[in-house]
Amino acid sequence: MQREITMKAIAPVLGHPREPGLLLVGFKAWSGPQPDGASSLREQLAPNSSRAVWDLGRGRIALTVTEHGSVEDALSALADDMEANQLAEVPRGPEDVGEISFVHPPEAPPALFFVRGNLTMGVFSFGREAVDVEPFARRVDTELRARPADAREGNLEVQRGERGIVVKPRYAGDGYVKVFAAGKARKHGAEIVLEGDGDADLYYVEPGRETQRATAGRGKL
Amino acid sequence: MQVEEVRFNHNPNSAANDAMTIAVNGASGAVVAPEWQRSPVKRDPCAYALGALSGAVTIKARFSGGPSNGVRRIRAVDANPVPPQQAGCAGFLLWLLQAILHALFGPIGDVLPKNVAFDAAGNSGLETFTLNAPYLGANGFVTKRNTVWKWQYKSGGSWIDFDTTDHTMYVTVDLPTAPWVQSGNPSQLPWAIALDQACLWAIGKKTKDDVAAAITLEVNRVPNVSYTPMTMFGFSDYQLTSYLTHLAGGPFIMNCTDAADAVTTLSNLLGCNLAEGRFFNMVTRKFLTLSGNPAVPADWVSWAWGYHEICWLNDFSSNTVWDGCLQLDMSDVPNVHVAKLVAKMPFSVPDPNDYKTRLIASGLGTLESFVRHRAVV
Repeated sequence: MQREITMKAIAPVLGHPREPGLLLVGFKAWSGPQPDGASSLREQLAPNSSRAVWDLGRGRIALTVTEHGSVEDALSALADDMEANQLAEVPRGPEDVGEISFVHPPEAPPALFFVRGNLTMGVFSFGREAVDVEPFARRVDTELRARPADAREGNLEVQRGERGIVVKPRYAGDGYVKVFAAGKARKHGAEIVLEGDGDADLYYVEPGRETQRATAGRGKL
Repeated sequence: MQVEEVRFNHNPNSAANDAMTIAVNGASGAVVAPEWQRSPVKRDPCAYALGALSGAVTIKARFSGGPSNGVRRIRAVDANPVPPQQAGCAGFLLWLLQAILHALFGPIGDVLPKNVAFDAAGNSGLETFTLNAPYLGANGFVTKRNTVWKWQYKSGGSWIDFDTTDHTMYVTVDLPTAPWVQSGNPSQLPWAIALDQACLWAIGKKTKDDVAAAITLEVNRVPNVSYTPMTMFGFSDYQLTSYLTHLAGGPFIMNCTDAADAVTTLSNLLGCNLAEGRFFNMVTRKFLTLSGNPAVPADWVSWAWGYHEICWLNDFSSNTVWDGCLQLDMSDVPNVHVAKLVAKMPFSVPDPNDYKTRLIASGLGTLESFVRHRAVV
């Protein structure tokens, strides 16, 4: 699909993303919820891009995740991604999935593409057997937006960097940092830059471990 | 006496008389001679490009445990030659099978004898040996060979075994072309893990056309793949490592860009000269979908595409194409389909059997302004 066509749909969202303060750092395709099936493959496709594949009872499902600097960067990258789709037109997906989403038409193998926070995501029916991908896409999207419950304070160190903040979990493994900023949030190298007034809630989420929490903002460091 | 090391790519700046420069994968860096070393143990593969070889092919080897300040005549021969034919029909068939396997996968040839001088400690220098290697000459073809050499020295009138070495060797029709390189970015050196796949798919092929046709066929007929319109293995780079992983795994999906990348990248790894090129805006005629069964009506499909990507000989000016993503319908009879693999077909020439004519029902099919070779990752 031509980039100009995709950008016409994305442009209004680009100017006013619904959740500009949501930032995910280090999120992998296997970091979030799992579909009801067996994990089959985890691939690190590039430093900022990963793919996970699950074998379901019938068919397979794959999730591809690419991390960008900000919501705006991710929206622009989605237009690039859709340029690599052969279809002349890829219809808009469900309004309530992602900042914006696109979905394969019924005649094509199911796939749903969306942006959440600074991530571009693709959920694919990954075999010959068609699998409905929307329920899993919704689960992933819902979890990404959710503030973790039962987070523990005190184990997440926040330091001031040159342009923003550096978040250091005391016990770090294969987890990711989730930022809910009152204003905009973006990555700058290893730092997180918070724009505008107000605090930001920071979480370090790692499956199988207690989530760590801290707050950052003006006067908090 | 024993072999200490064997070097195949002993001149990294040339592949005219020795092996070319390869890597194990995109992260390994170049394989550096010696490819075979006793201590510390090293067993790296090597690769020969038939089209680049001219004149005698040589290796270098070093020995220890030889006669103090003496000279030994040394050679290496096939450690596992085809056994003599046994009597009877079954014996002949068994011998024939062994002979075929030996020819396809067996040694590259023998190491011709030469006199090697040893110092007072019984060590030799790095000695150059010439190969008697018919499979690196006119009889050569694409394959992956396992060479086990029995090293011998001459004593009186007899050859005495003293050591054995084993080597993995790839043979390509010519030097790899873009995105592959022979110097510079080590991640783009020919990968052994990709040579494994390409040599398997094009085994026995002697010409570039035959190689490209074989790779196109294999990409098109991968049993665990099916079509999706979305590019799954990268658009700016080609995620070849991932593709090779999925080939060996469960069902997966890919589109025309992925197929064009696979055909171009694996064919060029064996010395072909293909490039990926796109054309835009079309509604297709019915064609046989990727890995489809011609006998299944649902596998004959038509799409409204914003673009389609295929492989071109050199660039657009050749008007010559390969397409691993589909098979064209060459039938003009309604509801009767005749599948044709797209290998070295003309594109956009006034001919009813032209690729573009057979693929596009409506739309311009306008060419992009450039062709590409995506870097492999």
